[in-house]
Amino acid sequence: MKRFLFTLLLTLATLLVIDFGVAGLLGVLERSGKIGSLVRFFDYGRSVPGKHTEWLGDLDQPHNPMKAAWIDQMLQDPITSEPPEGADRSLIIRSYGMSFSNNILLAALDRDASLTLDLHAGPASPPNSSFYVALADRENREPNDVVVLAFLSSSLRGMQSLSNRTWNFEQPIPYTYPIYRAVEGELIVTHPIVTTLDEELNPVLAALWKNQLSNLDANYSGYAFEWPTLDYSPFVRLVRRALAIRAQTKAKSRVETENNSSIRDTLRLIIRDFAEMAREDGQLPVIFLIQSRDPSDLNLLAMLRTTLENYDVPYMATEDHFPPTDLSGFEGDGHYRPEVDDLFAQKFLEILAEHNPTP
Amino acid sequence: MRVLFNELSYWVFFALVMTGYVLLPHKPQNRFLLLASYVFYGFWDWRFLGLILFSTVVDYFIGLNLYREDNPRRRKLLLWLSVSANLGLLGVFKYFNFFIETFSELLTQIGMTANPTTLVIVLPVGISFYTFQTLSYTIDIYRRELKPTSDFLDYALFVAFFPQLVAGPIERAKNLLPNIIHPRRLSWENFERGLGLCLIGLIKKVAIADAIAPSVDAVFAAPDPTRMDVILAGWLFAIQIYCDFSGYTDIARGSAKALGFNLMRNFAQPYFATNPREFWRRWHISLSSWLRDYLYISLGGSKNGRFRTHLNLFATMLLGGLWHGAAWHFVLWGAYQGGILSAHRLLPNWNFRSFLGLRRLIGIVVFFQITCIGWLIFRAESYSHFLDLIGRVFAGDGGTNIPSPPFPSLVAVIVVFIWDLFSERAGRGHFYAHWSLPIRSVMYACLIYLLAFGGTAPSNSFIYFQF
Repeated sequence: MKRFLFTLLLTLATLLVIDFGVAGLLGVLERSGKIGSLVRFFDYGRSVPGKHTEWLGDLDQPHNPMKAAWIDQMLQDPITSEPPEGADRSLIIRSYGMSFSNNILLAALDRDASLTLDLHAGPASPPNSSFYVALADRENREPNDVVVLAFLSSSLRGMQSLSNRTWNFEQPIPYTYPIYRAVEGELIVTHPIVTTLDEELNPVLAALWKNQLSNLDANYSGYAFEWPTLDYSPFVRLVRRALAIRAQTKAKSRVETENNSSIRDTLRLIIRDFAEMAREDGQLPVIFLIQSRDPSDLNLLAMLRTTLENYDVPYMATEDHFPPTDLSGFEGDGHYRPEVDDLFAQKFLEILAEHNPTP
Repeated sequence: MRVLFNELSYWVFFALVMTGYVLLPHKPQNRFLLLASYVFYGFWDWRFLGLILFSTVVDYFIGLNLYREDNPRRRKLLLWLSVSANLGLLGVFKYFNFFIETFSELLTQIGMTANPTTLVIVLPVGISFYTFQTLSYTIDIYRRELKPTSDFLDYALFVAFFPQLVAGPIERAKNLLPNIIHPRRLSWENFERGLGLCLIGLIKKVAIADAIAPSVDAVFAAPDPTRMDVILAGWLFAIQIYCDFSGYTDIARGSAKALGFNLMRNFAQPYFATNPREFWRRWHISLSSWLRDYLYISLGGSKNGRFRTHLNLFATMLLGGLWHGAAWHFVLWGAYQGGILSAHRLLPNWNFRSFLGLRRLIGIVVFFQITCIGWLIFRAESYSHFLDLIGRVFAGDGGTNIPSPPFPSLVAVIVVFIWDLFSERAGRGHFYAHWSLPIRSVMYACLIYLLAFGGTAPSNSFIYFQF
């Protein structure tokens, strides 16, 4: 037993020495400004509060993730294209989605310069977030606009979350959105306590907010949030990353598989309400179903095609035009390649031509 | 809820079992392990416990009667009863739909209409492993090579021992029963050795197999992979399946070792083989030796002339392929293995063993490619999918789109390769036994750090659980 205990203690001591060594090396690399992929790899394992603290230190940077996609910014600061020169009327496309939908619509603009774009996109925005922004932006839209609502398959797991921070451990962008649930044919909404960056940083709300996340967010995991002081140890960061990703993968399976019907029902009601709202306002609703390359994602088209046809809502499903299993269509970061986006844009323009909305 | 070796739940379960186990004397230890094994299996699906119990009861009583019986005809009848019961279980739960669908397709081919009745049957996990294990028990008694145990609960533990229940090694009663019947030596040395095995097994599974699985899956799901995609996917799948299965075996053997059991070695650096015969002496040793002892030899082995030897070899590997799964591409994989084994017998010079150095290295590299073609058959969705993939190797487009495996998995592959090199040189897996304690501790610490470094991939089930 003595030998075993000695081996155990010596192993732990060696682990500590290695950990100090790695921490020192990472520190030197960071101080010298050489933030390579290895440093980033270890940074991915910081706790969510630890990552937020790091980002807050850099708040003046224009693309700081802390500032991204809060609702006030989404409404006031969309990506817009200038109306074409000399044209007195231009068809306005207003979209609510994420980078994938932006890329498709920018490709459409390349094909048809007479369009005007008004793009409201949050990083990996789940359908509940995009729908929420579409509702909030209603009064800014005008009759005859084309209104695009985009669903991304890899973001469906966020439908029972209040923020990306609980389901995207490596990029826990903190912007918030409500959870919608289908109850007896109607959407019931739960709003987050925090809706702006100022509220996020308000210490009075912190405990309440954490409480709401841990109680109501289906993806919340203590592995991702607790004990941020342990972030000093690179070893603990690695272990945290492993445990948090496993917890989130299990949560994804729970949310998407076990509660599959509730996700499907909610999406159907979102489509119904979105289409009704757009039509009431004299606009053309269009749904984008964007299937990512992750084979474990739910199949959007299989889940929603009947609903879209029943409500007679025009849609562009990426899977109809390009198989998501075809590796040649994707960039290294998982986005579609420009030529594939161009193909989707062409299909979108065909939808416009078919429905002939007048500017 | 499933208790998987690569998840925290197993280690909590194992810690609880270990704590209770060390407090008990020998016989109660066995009862406690049996209960733990049934709980472990029940976590998967408690309904399948009935199947294990059925197989256990049938072979226990047949074993006792076989041993007492002297009449050759009755002995043969008892043996066939055991074989029919076990293969019947496999036939219903694993192959029923496969045979019905194949028969129906055959009828359609000859112009007859068929209205096949298929059943919704869930494959009970581990059924292929424990039925082969219990079969070996009755066959060994029939051959008078084994004395049956009269203690039913000890026999039940032999069938259901949790570390090796769901994916082997397929133990022989000659090896495992004495471990159960006689008091075991619990020692800190065994405990350390067991944990060491579990650690390298976890690295293989978590840091390598699970991490590279998405890259492999992406190519096999792609409608239009390039030549390089297919070649890389073949190599990566070879690494994945080795690390997945041998990782499972390491954890099974390590867990058993900590409990004082010695399970047989199931892998001996298979990719250092230079020919198919050597490969099957190194890969899934418990299955290949089972097939040799109970099928190949029963068919006559090499005693009835050259042609019959090749036929026996081919039939054995064909059935070995079918053992892996109820699908034609597994049968084709078995045929491929039978084919290259036969070819190896026909080509006496296809042997690099006598040459050390470069020639052996070339032999290893060349045979690895031959193995990878086999893995393409094994991993393909169907026969036509395999033909499509192999066609692309020779006439596909250039370039590659395969998603890169994560960097830590590449580091882990190098570490496992070095581990296998040391094992090969030492001729055993426990090559570090004579290393000084501080050096062993440094090795353990580095392996733990590596496990954390590579542990970020989402966990997958073990590939061999589906068989």
